[in-house]
Amino acid sequence: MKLPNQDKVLDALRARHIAAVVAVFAPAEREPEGWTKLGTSDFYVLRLGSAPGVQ
Amino acid sequence: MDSFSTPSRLRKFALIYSLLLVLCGIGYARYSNYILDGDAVAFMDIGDAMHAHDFAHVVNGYWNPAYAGALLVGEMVTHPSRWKELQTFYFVNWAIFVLNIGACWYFVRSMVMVRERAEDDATTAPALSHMALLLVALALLFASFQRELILSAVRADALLLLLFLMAASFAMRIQSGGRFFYYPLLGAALGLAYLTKSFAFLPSGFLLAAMMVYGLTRKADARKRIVGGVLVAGVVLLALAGPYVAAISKQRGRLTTGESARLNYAFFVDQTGRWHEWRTGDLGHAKADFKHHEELLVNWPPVYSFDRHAVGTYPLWFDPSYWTDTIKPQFYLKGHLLRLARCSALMLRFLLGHGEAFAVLAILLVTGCFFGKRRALWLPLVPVAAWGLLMFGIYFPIDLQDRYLTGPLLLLVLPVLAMLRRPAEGNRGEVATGVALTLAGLVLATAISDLGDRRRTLSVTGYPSGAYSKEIYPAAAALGAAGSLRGRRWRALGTRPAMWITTGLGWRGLRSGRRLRFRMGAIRGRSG
Repeated sequence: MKLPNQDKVLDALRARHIAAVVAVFAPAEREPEGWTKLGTSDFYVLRLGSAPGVQ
Repeated sequence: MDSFSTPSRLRKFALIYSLLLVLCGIGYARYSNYILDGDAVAFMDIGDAMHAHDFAHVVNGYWNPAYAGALLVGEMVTHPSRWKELQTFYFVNWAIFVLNIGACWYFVRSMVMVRERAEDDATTAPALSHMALLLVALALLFASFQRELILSAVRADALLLLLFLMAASFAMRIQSGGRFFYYPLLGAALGLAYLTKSFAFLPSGFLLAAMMVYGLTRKADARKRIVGGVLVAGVVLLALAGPYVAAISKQRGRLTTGESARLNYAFFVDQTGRWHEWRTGDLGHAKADFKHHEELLVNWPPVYSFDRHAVGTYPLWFDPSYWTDTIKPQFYLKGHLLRLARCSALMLRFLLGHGEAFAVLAILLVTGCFFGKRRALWLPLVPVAAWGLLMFGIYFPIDLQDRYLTGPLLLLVLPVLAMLRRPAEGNRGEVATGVALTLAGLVLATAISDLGDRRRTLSVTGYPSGAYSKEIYPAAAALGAAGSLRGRRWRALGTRPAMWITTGLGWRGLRSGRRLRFRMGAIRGRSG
């Protein structure tokens, strides 16, 4: 599962030196690809490790 | 006659009743559910700015600072962890509720003083005695705190109600021949009301103007005292409100007492879109040439950056007047007609939802109480009722929300109930007291039943307190534990549109920092 235009959105954030993105997804059987679930919640974090300037 | 309604017995009952309401308030502060919206985080952020002496961000065109100051006091007294912060603010609201109970006592006593000063009629007596009137007032107040002024809503409306009750009380003390210091107290209450919500400026101006006109039409000594008193009240009001008016005006680059009226006119009459007006072009009939709109990063899905003014947990709602600066509302007749229809429906819904006062009035009239024919028996109580009516009138053309209307309703209906008379002889006074006791008892019984349900629900869910979200808190803990994210820039976004509004999880500017705080469903990076 990917957000619409996810790559384009994440590239825009990487260009702004954003290290990670937090989102909430509706409960689903499959976890969204690349995202890590936060605790028992429906919140997920996606680290933008390859962002320019981000360690 | 061994009456159950002797003044001393009723006074004891009113004291015990007030104490029970205070205890119920503790229950509501403890067991009320997690609620956090854009208004709440804006106030919390302003409180933080005060704490940090960051006064440039305390001054805000949309949110006035007094309630944020109350939240800050709560934090400074209890030093809550970020996990207990929201619960602390529920208890700040409880403290404001307790003050409102005190204000209710003072308000009713002030009404009775006005009534007693005007009374000169051996054939009739007030239908509701002092304590019976107080019980009705407390019951109506408490019913409102169970509905539109719930303690879990981190908003300024209950504080504004408190200050309006105090202002009206001071005005009635003046009216009943009280000492001169009630004039500066009136000015102080009105000034603090303005610092709570900019709406207060207009009814305050009308009240002082009406008192001035009244004073100017009196004879020499009375005229001198009233005109002088109103001027003193005005000076105190301006001394409190003036610096903030000057600060907003400097920030906005023009004279303004606040931008909420202008924005609400645009939102509700001109039908300007509430979010991203610049991006969507959804200005309705308003006009604007935005000076500093948010930045569009990606067109679809729309992704915005607030880095240009990344202030507050949710920058767009922290200061809407910043992002919409230069918006110019335009007169729009069709918009007014549509609002007239909508606000009529909202008003009807509000009145139907607050039927207790009208039920008491109807029962008393049916059982033989009446409004006195002599003007002196009711006219002295008209000014406060008219002030409440004026507030309804100010809100009505633009927007009504139940939480705005508690103050206007109480200021209107309590004086009307105080005007009611009964024959001096007979048992109608006992009947009226019985009605007051019944109303008070039913409101309290409903609250106790409701609190029992809330407590039971909490024990089933196993949540540590009412102010707990099983979504937000675990997510915040997990994110806080991700140490590698600390001190880094990050963003939050949402895929559920409702969540964007209710929890603020849109793409938004979150500042980096060492200390992670969660609010409004996300963790906010903060420096410091």
